[in-house]
Formats: sequence, C-alpha cells, structure tokens
Amino acid sequence: MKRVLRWIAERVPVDQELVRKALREPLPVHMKNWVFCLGGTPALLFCILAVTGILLTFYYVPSPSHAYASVSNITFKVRMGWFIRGIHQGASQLMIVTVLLHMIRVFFTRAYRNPRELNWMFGVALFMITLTFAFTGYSLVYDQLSYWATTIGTNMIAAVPVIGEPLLYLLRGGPDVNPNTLSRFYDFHIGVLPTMMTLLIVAHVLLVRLHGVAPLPSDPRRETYPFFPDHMLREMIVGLVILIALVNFVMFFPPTVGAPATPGNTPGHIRPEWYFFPTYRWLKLTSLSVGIWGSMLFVAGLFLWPFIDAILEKIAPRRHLWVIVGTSCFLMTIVFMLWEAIVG
Amino acid sequence: MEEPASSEVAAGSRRDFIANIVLGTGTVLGVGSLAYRFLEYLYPVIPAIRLVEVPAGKPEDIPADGVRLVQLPAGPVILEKADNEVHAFSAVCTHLGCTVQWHPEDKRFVCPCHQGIYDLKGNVVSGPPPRPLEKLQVTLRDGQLFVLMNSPKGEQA
Repeated sequence: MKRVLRWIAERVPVDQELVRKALREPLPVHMKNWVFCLGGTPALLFCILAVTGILLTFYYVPSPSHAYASVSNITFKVRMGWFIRGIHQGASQLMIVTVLLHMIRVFFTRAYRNPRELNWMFGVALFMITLTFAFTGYSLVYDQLSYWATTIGTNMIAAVPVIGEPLLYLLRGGPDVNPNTLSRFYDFHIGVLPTMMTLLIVAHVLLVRLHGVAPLPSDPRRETYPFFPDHMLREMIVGLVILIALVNFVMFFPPTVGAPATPGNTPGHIRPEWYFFPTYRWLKLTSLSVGIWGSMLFVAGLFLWPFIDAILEKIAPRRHLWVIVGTSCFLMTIVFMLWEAIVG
Repeated sequence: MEEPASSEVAAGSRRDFIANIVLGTGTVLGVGSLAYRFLEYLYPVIPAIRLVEVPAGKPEDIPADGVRLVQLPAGPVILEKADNEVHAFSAVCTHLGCTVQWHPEDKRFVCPCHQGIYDLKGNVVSGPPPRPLEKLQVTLRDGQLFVLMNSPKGEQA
C-alpha cells in the first residue's frame, strides 16, 4: 500500500503539506450547528442528479415525436427506470429546497457582507441556474405541462424590451415552440447548464475557502475544529439522511407522466411546479409589463443584495432595515406560494 | 530592425507597448469574430411570414351558442356566429400564448394559464392580457369558411 502511495506521490508532485492544510482547515465551532451543513447538500444532490441524468440519457430521445414515448418507456418499461427517474426528479426538488434553505441561512446570518459580496452573487447565479435546470428538465418530458410551461416561459422572455425577441428566437430556435426548441432545451439541460454549474460551484467553494467561513458575530467562542474528518463527517450524515429520504419518497411516490403535449390545446387546470408558484401568482395579479419588470427587478435586487444592505445601513444605521426588507420579501414569496397552492 | 534615437529602455518599453496593443486587439478581434460566428450558427433561419387561406369548416358547424373552437394547422381559431355573420379570432391568449377556452355559461373566453378573461368579441374583460384576441379575416366561398392567417407553425429549418 505504502509503495503504491509513494508511486502516486512521485508522479503527482503535489505539496503534501498543502493538501493536509487544506483538508484540516480550522472551522469556527458555530459550524457544528446543523443549519450550517446546508451548503454542502446541494453539491451532493448535484452529483446524484448528474449520475441519474446520465443514466436517463441512455433511453431518452430528444425529439418531439419520441420524447414523450421515451419518458413513458423509462417510467413503465425499462428495468428500474421508474427508480432512476424518480430519484432524478426528487433530487431536483430537494436541490431547490436545500438551495433556498442555504440562502435563507446565509441571509439571516448576514454572511454575504464585505468582503463576501461576490460569493453571494455566485450563489444567486447558482440558484438561477438551478431553477433553469428545473424548468428545462420538466420541458423534456413533453407532456402538456412541459409544452405549456415552455410556451409561457419563452413568451415571458419575448416581453423583455429590445433584446426580448431575438433572445426568444435564439432560445426557441424559431419564432414558435418547434422541434428545435426541444433540442435546445435538452442541450442546455445536459451540456451548457452542467458546465456552468460545475464551474460556479468550484468558484463558490474556492471563495469560501479563500475567505474562510464567515464569522458569526452573535457567537463569541473562539475554538475551532478541522474540516476533515469532523465537518466532513457531519456533511456525510446529512447526505445519508437525504439519500434515505429520497429513496423512500420514490418508493412511495413513483414518478408518472401527464397527458402528451398537444399544441393548440391548453388543458383547463395547468400549473407549474411549486417553486414557480410565486412568479405564477405574480403574473396573474399584474399586467404583462409589470409582471416581467417586477420579476426582473426582484432577481436584480437579490443579486445585488449585499450592496443594497450596505446602502441601507448607511442611510439608517442600526435600524435593522435588512431584517425588515428580507423578512417582508420572504413572507411575500411564501404568501404568493401558498395563495397559488391553495386557491389555484 | 531600426532602433529609434531614444534610450534603450524607452525603446524597449515602447516596443512592448505596441506589441501588447497589437496582440490585445488581435485576440479581441479573433475571439470576438469567432464568437459571433458561433452565435450566428445558433440564430435560427426565420421563414418569411406567408398569409395563407385555411379552410375552417362550414358555418353550419358552428353550434347554437354561436362559438366554435377549431384546431387549424396554423393554430387554434375561434369562429363566432352572430346574425348569420361569422367572425374569427385567434384563440391564442395575448398574455403569454396559451389557448383560451370557451365558457358557454357566462359567454366568456378564459385563459387557463393566468386567468385572462375575454368577452364574446375577444375584448379583455379582466386579468393580465395586454390586448384583445387577434381578429382574423374570414371569407365564405361555396359554403365553406376560409380563415386568412400566418403560415403553419414549426416549419423553420
């Protein structure tokens, strides 16, 4: 064993001391709280999604005439197909949940402040990519929800002033939702987005490591504990719990497919997945331009939040405006989501 | 190569400066034009819009309540009959493109996506749609209705 290790070490001349230092990075003890393990979970889920996603491409056919049948084939015929698809679907939902929880944790511990603004922005970009992943993902099934979600989603882009129309053509590969659209969404889902996400995750984690974990002002303790093996173990426990939950969820709620996509015929009850409920409700309440501008403004605000917080702090120091703004945005999102979920 | 009359250091730094400018501009132009070609490749060929006359059944096919929704190759169309005159609208919601549905009980068209509501003449009653439903020209020839609309969808290369 030792000889093998030495053989590798000679061929990969990395400074062993550096590796040890990186692995044993001291973390402040407040990180032992489980809430601080949330950041690692989306990364783990991303790995699960990558593996199950690759497996799904073995049977999925990205063409309008075959997509629906191939998904039905995976779900009902392929050996363990329902399981692979179920894990993929469940992991995508959980990924959104954990990304949101991680963002809420970072927000309310104010860990995004100077000098960590850029990493908050990377994080928001990762959140947006996660949502785009989800959106393109359920478009691929090519059932009614896929088709109409694609139509609505791409038409929203067309409503963006000036660049809207060319951007729409570029995304759809034509003026209408057509065979090119599915290929493009597929390409985004399995090529463009995974590449972007991998690069951004690396940048995100790298910046956390370079800055060190953000201090928690409310916790005066100075003690630390090492990332490896202590914190790694905690992350692994979280990962295992999530895996068990995921497998059980799929066993009890195996995936299904809706009615096949029928252009020209929107079904009476159509609704996106729960994570788009707030936007969906917002679009019902407002005119088209207010709906689009409002959504864009919300995303811009989220993206630039560390700077907005700094300005608020300057205008009214120690008034805790960040809590007020953050909590009201958060409550508004929850209200819109529940409103859509209950009233429909 | 000829040396300028100034000192060695100045000549060197000037030469470096020019080299950097040339290299920098070249890189930007090269990568930029390559990226532009890539974008061009992705931009779809948009077919010219052709107006075509699409047969849409007979006036007698329109039921007694005066409204029929037909699926034509160029998209869903509403045929509305009043006083023996037939009007046609596109059934595509002007908000975000879903197909509206006919609710005979209150004589309204309702979009199931974001609850846009239109009246019998295609005007917006409530909800987010920015415009009335698009009016289409309809003609009656030899007992057959023809709707003038844009060429069928999904034809692009």
